[in-house]
Amino acid sequence: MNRIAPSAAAAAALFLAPLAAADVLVLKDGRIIDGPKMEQKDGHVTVEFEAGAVEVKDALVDILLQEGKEIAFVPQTDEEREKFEKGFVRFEGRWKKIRSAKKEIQKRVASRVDEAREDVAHSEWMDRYQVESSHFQWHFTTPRRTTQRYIDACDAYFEIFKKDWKIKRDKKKPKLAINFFADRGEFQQVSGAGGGTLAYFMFIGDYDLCAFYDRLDPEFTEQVLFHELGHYLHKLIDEDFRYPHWPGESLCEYYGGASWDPDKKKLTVGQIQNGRLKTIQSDIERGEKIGLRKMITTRGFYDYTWGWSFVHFLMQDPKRAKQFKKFFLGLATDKSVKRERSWSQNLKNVTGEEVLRYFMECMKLEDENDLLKLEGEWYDYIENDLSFEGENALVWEAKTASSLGERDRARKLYQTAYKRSPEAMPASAHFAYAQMLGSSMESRQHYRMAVDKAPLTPVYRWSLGEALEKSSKEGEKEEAELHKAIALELDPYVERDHGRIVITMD
Amino acid sequence: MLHLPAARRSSLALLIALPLAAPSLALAAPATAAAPAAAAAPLVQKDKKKKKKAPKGVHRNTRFGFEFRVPKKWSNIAIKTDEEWLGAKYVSETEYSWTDPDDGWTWQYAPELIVVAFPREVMEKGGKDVEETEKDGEKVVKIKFTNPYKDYDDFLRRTFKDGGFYKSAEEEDEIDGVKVTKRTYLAEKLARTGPKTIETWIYHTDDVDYAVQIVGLTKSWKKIQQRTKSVRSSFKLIEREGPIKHSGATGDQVTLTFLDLNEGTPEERKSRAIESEKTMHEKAIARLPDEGWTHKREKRVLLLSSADKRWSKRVLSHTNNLLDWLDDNYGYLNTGSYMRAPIIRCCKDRDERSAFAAGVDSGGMGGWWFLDRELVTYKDDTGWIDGWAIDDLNTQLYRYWMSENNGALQTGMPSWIDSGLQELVSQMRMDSRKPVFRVDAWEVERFREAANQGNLSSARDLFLMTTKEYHNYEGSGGNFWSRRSQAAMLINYLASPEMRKGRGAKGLLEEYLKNMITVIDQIEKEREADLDEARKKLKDKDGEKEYRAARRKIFVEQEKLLLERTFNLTFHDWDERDWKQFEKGFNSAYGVK
Repeated sequence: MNRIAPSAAAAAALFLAPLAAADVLVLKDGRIIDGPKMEQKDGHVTVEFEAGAVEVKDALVDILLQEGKEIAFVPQTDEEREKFEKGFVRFEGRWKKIRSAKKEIQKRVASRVDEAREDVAHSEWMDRYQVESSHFQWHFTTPRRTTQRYIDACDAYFEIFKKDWKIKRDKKKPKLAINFFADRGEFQQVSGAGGGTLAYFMFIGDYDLCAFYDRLDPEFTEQVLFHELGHYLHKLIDEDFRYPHWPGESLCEYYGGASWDPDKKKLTVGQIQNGRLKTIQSDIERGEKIGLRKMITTRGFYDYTWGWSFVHFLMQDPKRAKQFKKFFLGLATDKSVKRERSWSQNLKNVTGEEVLRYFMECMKLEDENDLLKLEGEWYDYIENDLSFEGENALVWEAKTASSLGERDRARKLYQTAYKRSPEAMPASAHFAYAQMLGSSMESRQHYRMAVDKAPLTPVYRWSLGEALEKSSKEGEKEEAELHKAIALELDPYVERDHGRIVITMD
Repeated sequence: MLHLPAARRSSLALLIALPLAAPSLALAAPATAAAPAAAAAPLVQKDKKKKKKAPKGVHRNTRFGFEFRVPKKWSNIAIKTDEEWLGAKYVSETEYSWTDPDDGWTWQYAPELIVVAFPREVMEKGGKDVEETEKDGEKVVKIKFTNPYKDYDDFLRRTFKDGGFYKSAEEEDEIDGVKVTKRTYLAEKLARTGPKTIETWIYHTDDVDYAVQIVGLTKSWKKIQQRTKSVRSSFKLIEREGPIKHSGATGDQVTLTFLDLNEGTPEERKSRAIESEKTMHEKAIARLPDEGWTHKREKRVLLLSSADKRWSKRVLSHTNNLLDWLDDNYGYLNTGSYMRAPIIRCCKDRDERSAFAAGVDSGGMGGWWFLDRELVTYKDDTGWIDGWAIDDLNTQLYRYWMSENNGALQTGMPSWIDSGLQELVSQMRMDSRKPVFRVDAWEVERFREAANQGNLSSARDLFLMTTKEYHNYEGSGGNFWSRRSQAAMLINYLASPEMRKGRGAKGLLEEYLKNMITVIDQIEKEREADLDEARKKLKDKDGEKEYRAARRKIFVEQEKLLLERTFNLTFHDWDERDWKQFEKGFNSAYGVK
């Protein structure tokens, strides 16, 4: 039997059987496969499933444990050969005795196996990990090692925000619980979130943040966490106050775009939100610019896009950043601000018009002309100073367009993204694009690329199988069966959950 | 909160009936007096006449073969007509309360009991059915794919709608020789009416798993456990009346497809509709619980009711009168269809209404979903006139009437008209044949305020407003509700003889809707190729949902055109002065300056 763990769907006791009794593959995204025979060569690991072989690129592999295989060192240079004969190998840049190097490797592998066992033991929500970090109480079913990155990043985020905005947590209250689920299915079931929700912060009662780990898009997972965490940090300014959509969501996006370097343990804020910038540019191309007055006084999706860029614009100028900070903090705390208490949540709110009035006061804008002048500067900033960083802006924008129901635009964006940098396009984008292309040859090509980049994702493989079934090309029908069989071996429910009605004519 | 669309997912229903084999040999041994009841259980009882009536206070299900003692003061809840998995459903007459510590609101919750049977053969088949036929000498392989429950957890995931939940404890046990898995789940996050406990014991036999699920407020769990002790101690497996026939259906099924309603001669369509009506009614009556429910067909409505006689009588009379009124006033929309008599299920109270919708993964919403076969209401203790239940029933009845009379118009018309018509009908009370028109005072006030503040576009613009524009929450999100009130008032104005005193209003709605039907016909012809493509989805009966979505998509794409053509047909001879007078008449009817 082939086993992949951990995930919410996986049975709890998978790894109680001795791990080393079979080949074991630990992937960098935390999943573990044991059962099939495996072989590593030519830059990939071949996993022999019952239905057929799957090649997994070394770049995706964390550890491969092979049953009965001795640890072997193969010297590559003359120096290494000479040292090897004297009983030494190069180990992490230093010469070490072969025996002690082997011992060290065995120790590390054993420790990883223990970690894997531990992860499986915590893969159901009732057995979840509960870890207290400097600023949060983490509950998670994700692999411990994978999660550490997010734990560190969120603590660093708290520290930076605390310093920037002078917030402090009421020590009498418990630390914020961050519930981090292994996948979307578990997130929806346990958190009660519906439909397209990616994460939420419960801002009344005992605060609660729920999010899930998207193993195919770890950076996006980080951004979602940062965004929701932003709402919590805003609460710490005044827990009795609820920030208006603008500037609340926009500041969350500003910090949501931070990037965490897990090696240097460094968080950099104020990055360009590529997807958001692309949305703004698309709006401009269509001749749609959001006015400052409208953005400040009303709520809309533009608070995530145009709103983010406006905060970015203000924060890069020290003088304006200071004024903006005064405004943001003052919305909740300044006695001159007129607040109303909401009937439903019993929290204080500010109307759009009052937000604008106070904003103008803090930014020292005297009249409509000043406001329009600032608006003009902001538009210039978007045009001249904001430019893409990274290759995936188009993919992110495509995701946004898709979530807004703009399917044609999303399709065109994926198309351009692929043309510009096919290598940078993630598996999930190939898959989403393939779905939009219907049953064409191009669609099959993108399903193939999704499978190539994420070879152990059952739904990608299943969909490739379905797409190939319709092909008239020689051999593709047989290939379809192979992909479907492997997909079913990886996840027996893949057809039931993702299959489509098939009507075939023989 | 961040959103992205949900993942693609198939949720179609299996339509073929699947007779299950007799229970396995191990469990088919004859029962003896000494043998434990559960172990000796599911014998096939060949002679149905021998079926004994359950003793008082005992729930006996001979289809699945189980029985248990019902706790005192728990009511038997009807099960949806097509639902195939539920074997019993009860709700406590005692409500427990929970006060939300954050907002101080107190919620009442009545504990529920459900027995679900998972026949192994249906589960293993996995909802996949391969059918081979021949057409024009070619072999056609049809794979019908569906998503019935994978296991109990999957059932819970799909049917529990009271917040997020997780398994908090599990224990394996054996009762009278039957293996039992005892699980506890806690529903804590987003549990709006209070944190709940779900306690389920799953009895595993060779051919069926029986899940006995009890749900109640965690705060009162000990009391609830005490009161449901009898269920746990008395649950046992008994003889079945025969092999289990199982269609796999998890909710209401399509009873008349779009093709049934729209293709063939009028006589053929009528004959199909009459046949479907007969089957629907017979099945609904046959699946009523033995006690507590009555059924009555009066004129154009079949009423299934557990409410008191007076309320039931009033519902029957009101709905018949409302259907007549719709025919009298909007009969011109009918495309020659035979209207099947709706089934109205009237629960005795709100708790029973909510328990009726529990444990099913589709439908049960009472007319809001096209698969909802029945219109569901309840006796509203806040009153006939002021209660929300009759408003809601009216809206369901309007949707049903429209779907049966002119499905093409229903899927083609812009949202503002649909929403306006719904609002108009929802407020009506028809104790006699003369309607009592009521207007929601809140709606009037909101409309008046928004119009006086200049936050609304003109009525003329509304006639040209697409669904997307109407539902635009961005920018001035709050304005949607004002637009909604404006739409409600405009339809109210055009439909009510008492209100439409202004120039140009009389007969305008009829003319406008008739023109819209003409334009829909034109567009159907122009988009014939696309509609044919969409129609292919209907080759399989399960494609009804997909077809409706595809058709709706085409009309959304053509909406601007539909509105413009309808507008030009209707108002081609109106000039600025006509519009000015029309707007004046409309606005002054509702006190707008």
